Amino acid sequence: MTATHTSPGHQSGTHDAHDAHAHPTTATYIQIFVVLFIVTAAEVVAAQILPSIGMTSLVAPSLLIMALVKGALIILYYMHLKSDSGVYAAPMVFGLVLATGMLLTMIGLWIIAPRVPCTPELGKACVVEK
Amino acid sequence: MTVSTIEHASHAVPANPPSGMESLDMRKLGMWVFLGSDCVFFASLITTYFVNRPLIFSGEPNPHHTLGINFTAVLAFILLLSSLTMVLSLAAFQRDNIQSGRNWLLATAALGTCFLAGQAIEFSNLAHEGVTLSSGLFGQCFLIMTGFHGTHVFIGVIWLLACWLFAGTGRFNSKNFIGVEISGLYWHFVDLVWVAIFTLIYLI
Repeated sequence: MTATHTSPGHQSGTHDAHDAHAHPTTATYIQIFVVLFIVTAAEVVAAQILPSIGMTSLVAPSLLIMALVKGALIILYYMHLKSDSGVYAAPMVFGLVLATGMLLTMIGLWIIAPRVPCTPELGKACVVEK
Repeated sequence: MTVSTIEHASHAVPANPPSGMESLDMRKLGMWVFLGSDCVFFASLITTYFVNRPLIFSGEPNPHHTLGINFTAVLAFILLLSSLTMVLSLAAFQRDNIQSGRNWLLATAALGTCFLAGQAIEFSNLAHEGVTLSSGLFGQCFLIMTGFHGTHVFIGVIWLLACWLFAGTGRFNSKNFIGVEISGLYWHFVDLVWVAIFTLIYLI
């Protein structure tokens, strides 16, 4: 999955603006798609099979890992960050760090002090707000 | 200096090609900045869903019973396929294969439209089961999140069709394909967001 080809001004969008870098070939793009297809199918199977065989605790970690693999393939190969300048990656990495930080912080805060109405269905996880 | 000499000189590789920041395309960098900010936007919607998840799953209708994973998996495949056609379109323009590039652009827009049609069917089915914007927390969190994603897809389809039209006038070729490249970045991001939503909301 590392085959590449170069063409003049390939990276630039405008011929003279950038230096030429290697971009994946058509075959590589198709290989990436096949991998994405297989991983997505594996996600669907895992989400339905793992709970039925009593491995519920493995569902979330396995699905998250597969989603990360898919996301990385799309960003690196289809969005060309693997071959583009690292400067382009900076705002995306910054956004992803902020996004992940926000998600984890909010979930963490909820675990520490859930500010939600207490219902019987929530059970022991529900703490009444004082 | 003859005309041919002038033309040759204008296409000659400069003695000192741009390097460092000068080699960056500001339009492309601007799109990456926008995508970075859009990450935070979608993260806020997903976070809202997750924080309210215990309440959502304790009420009725339960997402596990109402969300069709197999149908949504087909939608995910459609978006993944559209990412492939998008990148093939850009590669065709970079090879000066304009007609092929236009065809792939049209295929991408068609797949995007299929996705939107699928999402409309899903929303319609949910409405029949009583999940609407005013039906409760699940309806609000889920429909706003997927609705904003659908809006992004819709904007992407319009953008792709505009690129297809512009490409017909000879605007894009192997020396100038920034328009297709930037619309491609946006389209792949839309696919990326669906990867996150599909996993975090539908499967987990």
